[in-house]
This record gives sequence, C-alpha cells and structure tokens, in this order.
Amino acid sequence: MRIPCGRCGQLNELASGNDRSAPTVRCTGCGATFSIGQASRPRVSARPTGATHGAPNFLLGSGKTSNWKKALISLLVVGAFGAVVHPGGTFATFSASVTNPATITTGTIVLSSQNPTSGTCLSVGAGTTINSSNSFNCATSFLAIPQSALIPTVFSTTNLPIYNGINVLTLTNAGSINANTVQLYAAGNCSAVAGIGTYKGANVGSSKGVCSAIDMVIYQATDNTGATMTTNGCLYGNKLGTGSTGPLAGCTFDKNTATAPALGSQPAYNFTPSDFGTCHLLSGSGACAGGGTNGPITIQNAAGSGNLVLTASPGNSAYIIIDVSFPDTGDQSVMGTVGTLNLTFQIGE
Amino acid sequence: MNMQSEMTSDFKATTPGATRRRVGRLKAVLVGMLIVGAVTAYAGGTFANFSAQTNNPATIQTGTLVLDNKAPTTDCYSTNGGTGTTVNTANSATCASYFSVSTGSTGTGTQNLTLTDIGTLGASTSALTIVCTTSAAAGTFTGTGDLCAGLKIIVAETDNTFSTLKTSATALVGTCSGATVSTCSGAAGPTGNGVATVTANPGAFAATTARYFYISVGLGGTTDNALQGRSAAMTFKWAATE
Repeated sequence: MRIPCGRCGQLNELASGNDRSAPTVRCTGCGATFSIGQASRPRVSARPTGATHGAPNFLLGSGKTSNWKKALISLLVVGAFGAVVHPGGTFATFSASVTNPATITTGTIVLSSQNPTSGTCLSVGAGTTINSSNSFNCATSFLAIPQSALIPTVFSTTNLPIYNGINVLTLTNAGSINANTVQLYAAGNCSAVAGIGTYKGANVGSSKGVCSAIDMVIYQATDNTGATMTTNGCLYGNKLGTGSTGPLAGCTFDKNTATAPALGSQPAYNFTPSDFGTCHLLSGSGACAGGGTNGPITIQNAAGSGNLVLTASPGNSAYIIIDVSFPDTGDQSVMGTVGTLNLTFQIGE
Repeated sequence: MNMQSEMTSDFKATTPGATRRRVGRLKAVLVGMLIVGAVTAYAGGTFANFSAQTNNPATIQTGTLVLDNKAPTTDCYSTNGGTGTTVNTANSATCASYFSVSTGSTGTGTQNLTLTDIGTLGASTSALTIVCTTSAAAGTFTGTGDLCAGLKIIVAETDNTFSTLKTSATALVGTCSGATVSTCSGAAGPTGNGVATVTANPGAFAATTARYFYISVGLGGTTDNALQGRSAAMTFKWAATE
C-alpha cells in the first residue's frame, strides 16, 4: 500500500509488517512522519513530528477543510456586511405607521396711530414685516409752538404768553386678531433742551423748564373732534375740574386749582409732562399728580366698563386727545427751549 | 477485512489491460439499460407496479401589525388609505389633522390620541417623529421668525383619562413634574424648516392593547413679535416595527 505525503506528495510504501494498530510512516521525500490513523480522520490536523508551527497538514482531507474554511469565512463576511448596512440587527420585519398633520398659525396685532398732521404711523414702520419689537417711533404729535406766541407785545403778569395745542390720535388695530388691552405710558422722563434759535433759555434738563411749565390733559373722546369725552375717559388731568379752564369738564387743566405764578416763577401745576414722564413710566414710581396710580394707564372702553378692545382689522377705533396749555408762567428762562416727552401706546392680546 | 484491507485492494490495481476489460463490460451493461429505458419511455412508460405515496401539506401564515390612530374618536388605520382591512406594501397612512389653530402668543392646540396595535403581532420597537415647516401666514403683516422653533410641544403617555400620566413626571416630549399632564411643560419645537429634530421612543406595543397619549402644542406666551403672522405645518409620525 502506498500513501501520499500530505506535505510533499511523495508516495510512501506502507510495509505489511508494520503495527496496524498505529502504523507510522516516514516520508521518503521530506522525512516527515505521520500515522495512518491520523490520516483517516479528515478534520483533524496532524503535524509531522518535529514539524514547525505552520507546516502543512498531512491529512488526506485537508483540501475539504479548506473549503469549509472558505464557506465559513464567506458567511462571516456576509454577516459583518449586514451588520454594517443594517446596524439595528433586524432584517425583514413587518411595520406600520400613521402620520397626523397639525397646523398652528399665529395672528397679528399692529397698532395704527393716525393724526391729522403726520398721517398714519404703524407699529411695524413703513413695511409689512413685523420684527421682534413691533414698535416704531412715530412723528412728533404736536406742532411746534410758534415763536410769536411766546413773545407777547407787552409782557407782564397779566399778559403772559399762552399757547394751547391739541392733538387727536386715532388708534386702530391693523392686525388680524383682537387687541384686548390698550395702554399708555411714558417712554422716559420729559427732557428740556436748548432750542435752535440765537437766544436760548437757561432752564433746561430732565423734567425741568418747559416740561414743568406746561399743563397737560389726555382724554379719550367719542370721535375725532374731541368734543365729547367717553365715560371715565379722563386719562390724565384734573378730574375735579369744571371745565372753565378747559378743555372739558371732568378733565381740565390744573390752572383752576393752582396759584398763578409770579413773574419770574414756575407755576405749581400738577398735571405736567414732567409729572407724566416720572409717574407713568412702564415701571412708574413716585407720587403721581392727583393721586394717580403709578405705571401705565390702561384705557377703558367707551362705556367705562372694562378694558378698551381694539378689534381685528377692519375694527373699531379709539380717539385720544392730548391737550396742552403753555406757558402760564412768569419764568422767562423757558424761552428758547424744547421739551420732549415720548408717549407710548401699546396694544396687547 | 476492514477498511484498511479495502484500501489495500484499491491500491492494488493490477495491469492496465485487465482494467480496460472490466470497464468495457460495465459500459455494455449500462448502454443496455439505457436502451431498455428509452424504449419503455417511448412506449408509454408504466408497467404494472405496486405504489404508495404520502402528501404532507405545509402552510405558512403571517400575522399582522396594524396601527389604529384614534384622535380623538375617529379610527385611522395604517392600512391602505387609513380605512379598510387591506394591508398594502407601505402599511402607512396619513390621518386627519390633530388640530389647526389660529392663535396669538398664548394659543395651544391639543389632542387626545388612542394608539393601538390592532394586528395580531406585537411591535418590539416604535418611534415618534415630529417634523415642522414654518412659512408666512396669509395676511398683510407677517413676521420673519421661526415659529417651529418657538413652539412648546408636549407628548405624554397617560391612562385613559388623558390627564393622569402613565408614569409620574414622565413625558415622551417635554418635561413633567407631577402626576398629571397639567404639570408638564413643552419642549422646544424642531429647528430648521422641514427637519425632524424632535423624536421620541414610545417603546414596544403589545398587540390589541390601547395606549393613550396627550398632545399639546402652543407658543407658551412668547413675547417675540417676529412670530406674528407665521404658520407652522407639523406632522406627527408614529411608526411601529415588529
């Protein structure tokens, strides 16, 4: 019997006298030794005596083992690829899904302030895009007081320069949802600064000079003529006044309760831009004229029974009258000065 | 003898001439059998023989995984078109809108959802994906803000009252501090138009077992006026997998 060597392929004779229980053959080609019993077990690797690690197998079925290895390696590769492509580890599975839409649309509130001289002013400014503040500085409400009114022909305590200015604001909501609150407050203190003429008064500064010399009334009217005030419509002014000092009974200038100032002195009016700019800030503080409440003034509806609501466009309007009387004062140092009070109307949901 | 003796005989091939003679006889026998077989096939093929056979039927029946989206009272199935009993390839349906709200800064849209796997198979995994797209609303004035990002979203699993949380102080989307949905506050909505940045994992669904979800989307009293005049179109996709 001749058996090939698994290492070098040399055919080797198996002598009949060998021990059959464990016949051992030494290859005549390479000198390696192996047993017939080992060779009959195709999956068990048998290495020749003294062979180094990695020497080729002497198995008759070593080629079959290689094929098994290839198949297993292929399966491993496929498995690894699947794990990468589908890392969740699951393959063909049933699934179900349902999708529900939902929509949320926001409305708009845009305040429109209109007066006869400066036209319409929107809280969005000139365009239609609403920015985060939705606030815009509109034109000056009052006409400049003519110089001629401030320089009387004969100046004395009985011939003081007087000027009455009135401004009518028509407020509407140009947005798409109702504004349930309308508030009025001062954006800051009234400030008096030197004017632009050659000669300027010296009484300037925050809440000084002309800010204190002006008597001011603000009320809500039933229309833009300002002739009739709404119920509880006096927003700022002397609510106890009879109207003899104007503009309307129940909301008058403070002249009738204050002592007329002496020549060269400031009046002692309560309801002034200076007071408004101190007391009715968004976070107002201090004592208010007539015992009013600090902070913004919330405007009531025409019936005086609740908050004024400016409904969505085209909605209702509110008419706000701002009336000033200037300067029933003998203090000449307010001449040639400019007083500024920024009034803010704010609407909210 | 044994295998070894057989191996021995195999390896004892004698002369080449003897081998050729044995192969020749084998060929003759095989050719003869082929001829008989061919003639038999041509003539009709069958002879009188006893025979017996057994047939074993085999059936494979698949289960079903079907979601029932009831919000709040109308059923919408994942099957074809949301109604009917035929499961199509996608097994996916677009159901009715949860809500369509026109609101100010404090408005909120809510929905009570009953979600049930009404099939015969349970779902081992599921996912909720919320996608939102912001656009300008109709009207003269519009803001430019990202309304989706300004939304406050709550999705919480409850009992069948839609008020008591299934697990106290736990929500799928948003955060809760107590045992009821009133203690929940919303999570910020998806940022970026059409991008699903809000996802949640509702976990496994047992077959035919209803689960209840409270859904709320609002602006939470935002003070950002740039969100005025905007529209947020959202989709809530619930997906379950076997």
